[in-house]
Amino acid sequence: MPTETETKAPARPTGRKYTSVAELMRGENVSREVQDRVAELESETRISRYLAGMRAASGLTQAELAEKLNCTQSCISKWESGEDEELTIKVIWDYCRATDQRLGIFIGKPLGHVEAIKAYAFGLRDRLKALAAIANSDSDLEQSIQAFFGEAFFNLLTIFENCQREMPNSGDFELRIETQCKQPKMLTCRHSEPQHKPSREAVMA
Amino acid sequence: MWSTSPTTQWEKDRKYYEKKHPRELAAVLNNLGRYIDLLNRSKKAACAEAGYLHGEGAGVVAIDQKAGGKSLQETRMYIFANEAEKVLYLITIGNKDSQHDDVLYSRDFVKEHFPPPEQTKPD
Repeated sequence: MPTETETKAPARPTGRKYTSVAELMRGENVSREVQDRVAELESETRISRYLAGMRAASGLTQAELAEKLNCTQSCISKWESGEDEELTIKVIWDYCRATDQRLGIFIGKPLGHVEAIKAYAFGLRDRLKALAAIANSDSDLEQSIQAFFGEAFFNLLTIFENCQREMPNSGDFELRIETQCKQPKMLTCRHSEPQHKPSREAVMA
Repeated sequence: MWSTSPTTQWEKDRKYYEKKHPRELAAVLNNLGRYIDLLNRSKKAACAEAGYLHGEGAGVVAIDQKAGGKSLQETRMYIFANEAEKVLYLITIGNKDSQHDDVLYSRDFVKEHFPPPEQTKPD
């Protein structure tokens, strides 16, 4: 302690507030060395941190979860306070089951942006195909799935449009949509006035 | 959402630990982050419990250096969780030797700045 031999003055609140430890460290000018070490520790305890959050979000105390998992509270405490490498797949599985929550874990080299977008796109395609299969087999659900397709399509275009706006020279961007629907639907995607190609209307079949 | 707010003493202790025990400081800061996550996700206060937390009475909680690496000096960051404001006041940082004094010091901080409701009633 710095003040072992001296008397500490009473602590006073500084009034400065931070919503995360990263923000606290930046705001209080904590050294780069400490900030890097905290980031390292955070990555080593990410899953255990998440498991504790799953339990807390389910409204379970450590003792209640221990009872559900037929183990001791100290086991729960050890898993949630320890490092990720001490956890087993079984522990993670037990937490998901007991809290009725879902946890996705990706381990390894992070994907680049383009790779990640492609992966999401394939995932999206598979989900849409599954929904289309349901629509084909269940006429009651067909209409609502059809409506969902329209909504999802529009939302995705809106996302693209908003991101495109952040690109340099976004004014030159044209997004032209051509669809063939059984029932004519207006699909619009508004954007800043294109300078070169004025025809940007949605085309109906 | 919970936030943190340093005190004047915490600022001094933080600078000392940054120089003399950076790994210990990083470990308690990481556990502070875990505690904030836990509080933000907890459905009820009783769920926000963890092995690196120690109740020290009068609302003072000590966060230790668990999972911060091997052969670290026993270190504790003393905080006060103000439920009403959803703010964690960072009071002081100390080691095993100063533990007793740090607890009393932190309790004094809470008494002075966050007196229990009955003490604030007019006579």
